[in-house]
Amino acid sequence: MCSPGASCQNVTASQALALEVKPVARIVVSGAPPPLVVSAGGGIASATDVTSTYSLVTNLRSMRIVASIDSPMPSGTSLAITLQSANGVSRGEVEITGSAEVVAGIAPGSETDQRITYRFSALPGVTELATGERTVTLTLTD
Amino acid sequence: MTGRRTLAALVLLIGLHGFAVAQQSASVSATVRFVVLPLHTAASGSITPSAIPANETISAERISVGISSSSGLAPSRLLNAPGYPLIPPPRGSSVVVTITD
Repeated sequence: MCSPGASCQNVTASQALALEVKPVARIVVSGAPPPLVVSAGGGIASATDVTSTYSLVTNLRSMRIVASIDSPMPSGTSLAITLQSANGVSRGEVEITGSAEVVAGIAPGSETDQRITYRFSALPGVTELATGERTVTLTLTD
Repeated sequence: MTGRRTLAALVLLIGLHGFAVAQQSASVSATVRFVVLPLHTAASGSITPSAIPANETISAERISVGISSSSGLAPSRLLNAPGYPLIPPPRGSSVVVTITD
């Protein structure tokens, strides 16, 4: 420390810091949907499940969620999905055929326990269908 | 030569860009199960003639059973339905009709 009137010599040192914020994109689902069971006959039969949720975190702008299915649904049936979103714009109920955008414009931040709604529908002509299963993949992407 | 270097740099740039994009996505999967159960709708059945008068003999050919199903689906098989095929039911007996898909 310099006293008044004393000759002071400042000594400095520099160091280069490399700073980087890596892109973060994480998404998880919770819950195991029970079988969606419908009975044949009458008009279009459908069953809905709302027991699943998803959570995500990202530091990227304008992210979106794309839902895809591993193989087509049996003839006369369909599977639709709806994702609730706090930081983005839900596309509402979207039938999954191949892949489809279900949430768009997700802002940076996190969302927890957002509801996933599955709806399985069968046309009147479908009188019986053995238990089947499909893998639905949610991709958080830009 | 300069053109080749430029092309190589461009390819490298595209490659790096593609790699960066791949880092900016994440996926998760869930299994969804579904089933369509066959319909077993209660059916109503009727027999014609509805009553067999006493002291009258009625031939099997005159007896028929009509069935209506609330499902709107025609039953593909008919089981346990007296009179179908044409079997005279005992007088005064009730008609029980069972359908199956």
